[in-house]
Amino acid sequence: MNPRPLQERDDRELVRLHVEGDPDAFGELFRRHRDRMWAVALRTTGNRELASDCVQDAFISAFRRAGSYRGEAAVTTWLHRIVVNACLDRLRRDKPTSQLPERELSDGRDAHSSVDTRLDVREALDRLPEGQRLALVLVDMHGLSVAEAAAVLDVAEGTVKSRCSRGREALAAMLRERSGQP
Amino acid sequence: MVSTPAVPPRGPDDPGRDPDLDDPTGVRALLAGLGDPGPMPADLVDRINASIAAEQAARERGDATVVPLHRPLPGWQRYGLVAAAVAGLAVGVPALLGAGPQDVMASLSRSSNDSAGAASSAQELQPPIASFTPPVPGSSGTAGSGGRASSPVGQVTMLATGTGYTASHLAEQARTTMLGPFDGSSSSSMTGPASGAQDAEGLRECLTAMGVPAWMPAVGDVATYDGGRAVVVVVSSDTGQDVYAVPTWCDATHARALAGPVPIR
Repeated sequence: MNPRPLQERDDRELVRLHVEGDPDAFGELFRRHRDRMWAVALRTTGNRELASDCVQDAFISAFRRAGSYRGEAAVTTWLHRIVVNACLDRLRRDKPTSQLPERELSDGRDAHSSVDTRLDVREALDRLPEGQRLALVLVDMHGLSVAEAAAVLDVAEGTVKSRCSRGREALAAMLRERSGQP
Repeated sequence: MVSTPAVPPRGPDDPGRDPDLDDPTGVRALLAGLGDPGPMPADLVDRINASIAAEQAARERGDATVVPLHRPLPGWQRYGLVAAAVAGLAVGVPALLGAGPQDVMASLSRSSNDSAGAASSAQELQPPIASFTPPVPGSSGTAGSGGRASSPVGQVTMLATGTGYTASHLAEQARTTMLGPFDGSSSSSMTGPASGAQDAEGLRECLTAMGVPAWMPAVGDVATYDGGRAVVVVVSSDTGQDVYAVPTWCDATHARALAGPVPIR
């Protein structure tokens, strides 16, 4: 009887097969999760080049460290954690004072265009403390549950909730200031 | 096919949303509405697939950092191993003569390691940067010159000349600095703790992560590349030499080439 094709295996089976030496199992994991990991890297860094490097670092790291995956969290949570950590490594290395604003918010011209709004939000997000920014990226932008985000960030759920709450308030204040509203 | 579904952003009407995450500021809805970045770009998919293939190939070789004992070595590499053995005797015998019993046992233990241990020991026995013996021009395949082309299989030799390498003259500068005669004026001018690709072990990890086979000897130079701190490295293979520039922080998990491979002609 032929073994089931990799496409029909679940994520945990693929990790196990990879650890056992299957040459194609990790490729299937990559194919399955690459778009989602690209999205979280891009949302975390806000920079396509940096995100590219991060996600590449992360998948190579996952390839090598698959033996340390204990199966307690979902594979996708494990991968998210590796990607987020890879992004943080890069951000801290390239921009050690990542909590300080590198750029001023763009000026008020064309403030109503969606592109400018997106840029303003992105720039305001970059000005948040790292913990708040990551919580908002994972929960509000990436759609993870609080529990999932807590597992990715390795913090308590209550911490994620409070970071989200404080981050949203800070972000709203920055955007109000940006638009000249009281 | 089993696949992990994407997790859609949970909007305000989502019955499963967490009431603790109620957001009177409206920021949550704003962030959720910024749109999806889309699929991973095709060129990045190709790049990562190539990296995974390189990792897989290294894994199938047993261990990318271990030189297989059965690998047939080209002539210049055999000469290199002889050179390493001679160098090991030159350094090891006087050390044994002047050592206590425990030191002798430690030395003997090291000398009984396999080829990977030998490669490692060869690195341990390398003279410090300041006393590095540079390669002699045209000495590829000869023993004892200390350069990459004549280094034992898998050995990484480090320099720290502080040379200002540029993209337009990278190969030429690398040939002059790392493969040419040593004029005594390029001693280390770089300061700070060695980390990432700035030491031999870290540079080998960086190169391996970039897909450079572990048996290829390399000479790294802690220097600058186009004005930024970098390690410029010449890697020798059976067919020639290539030069790369990598960030000083390049390591096993953060491998990235600033330039290269550029063939040295």
